Amino acid sequence: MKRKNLGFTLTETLVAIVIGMISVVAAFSAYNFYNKSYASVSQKVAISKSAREALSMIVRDLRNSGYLDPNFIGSSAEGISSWDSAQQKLIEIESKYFGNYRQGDRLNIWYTISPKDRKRITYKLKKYQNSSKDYYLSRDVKINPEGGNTSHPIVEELFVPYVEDFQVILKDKDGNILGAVCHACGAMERSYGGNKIINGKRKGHTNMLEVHTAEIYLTVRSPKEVYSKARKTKIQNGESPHGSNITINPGDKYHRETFFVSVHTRNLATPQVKIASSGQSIGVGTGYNK
Amino acid sequence: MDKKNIKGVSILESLVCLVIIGIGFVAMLQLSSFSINAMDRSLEKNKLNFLSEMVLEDMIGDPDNVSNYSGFNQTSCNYSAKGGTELHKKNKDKWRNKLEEKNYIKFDKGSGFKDKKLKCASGDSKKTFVTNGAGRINFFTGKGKRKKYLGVVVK
Repeated sequence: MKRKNLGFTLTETLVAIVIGMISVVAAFSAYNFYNKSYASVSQKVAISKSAREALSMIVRDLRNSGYLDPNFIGSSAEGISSWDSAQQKLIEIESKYFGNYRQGDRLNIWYTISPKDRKRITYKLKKYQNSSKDYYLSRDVKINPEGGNTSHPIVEELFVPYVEDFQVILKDKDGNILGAVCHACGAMERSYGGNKIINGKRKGHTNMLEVHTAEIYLTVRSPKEVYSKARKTKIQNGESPHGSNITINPGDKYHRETFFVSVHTRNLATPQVKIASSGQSIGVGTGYNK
Repeated sequence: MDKKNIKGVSILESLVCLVIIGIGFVAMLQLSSFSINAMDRSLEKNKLNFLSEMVLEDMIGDPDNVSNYSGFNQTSCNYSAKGGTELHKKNKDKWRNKLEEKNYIKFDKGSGFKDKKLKCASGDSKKTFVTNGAGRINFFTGKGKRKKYLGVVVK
């Protein structure tokens, strides 16, 4: 009785094992690749989402900036006695001072929310409490800050996480940069004559009424490392010397993105309007802009 | 019971089978890589939408000269010339710079710096149209195949 039992030979088994191994490795590396790209895309989405939402809020604030209620009356809470003094706080920037690279700006926006009350919103870069180099963009809202109001302490809450650069470039109706738009002028604003008195008014104050466009640049970094290799990065936002120029070298593995928006400040750079009751005027000279 | 021939699957047959399954597997992989690319592209498109909002905002900010904003047509991917002294010329200049290939994500493309920009292909164009105080901006991206427009009433 001759019985033939055919099994796999050793070579066949070996070949099968090798092929099996290759497919397992392929599947594993594919999984790895997708995992990585998922991580990187989700980081990008997180950056994009937080920055865009923040920018839309900044845009809303900028459109309100400088709004003075036509019935605005000096209030002791706000510490303002005249229309002229009210017009000294509409919009303000302090250039190139904040953030890890000392090139970020601070933006102050004022507008009235009632004939008696005024709101101040401040955007600036702030360091995380437990970090030596990581900054976030903070937003602080205060009602009647000038009148010694202590019921709204400065909070500077986290608005956008991991921000590397925040630039605000203000331009007049002809598209020229306004170098000094300030009440408490910083070093850069002083060098552009923010404290100089022309026709009885400080240049930093008169410039506030000429702000026609605000351009905002926001460079955000991914919270976690995304790339497998370190890469150098150059961040250039806005026109020199008001903009930033940052080189990150040696590089790192973070992903960075810059978001830009330009806003027409509707309440500033408006033609002169006189209030019927008091005869006080709002805005810059007639025919400045329509 | 004698001479029973038990036939299994030969190695050749199994290899062919493996190849066929492999082709299906690769197709599935391509599907997921395509979806990741699509996500990336949608981010870029989003960015383009926001840039076009900048264009529209600039038009709103200069309503008296709105006719001057008509006929903006940027077809090349690079731009270096500078505009004039009027606001509308400066604004158009700004758009050109922002829409330029190297500024899509606004990181400078120096030597040794990783290229992180969205590719600008020939045929891509950005145009503005202004009629009766209403502005519209057209974008053609991806070799001019993808069309997108946004509009606003300026006056």
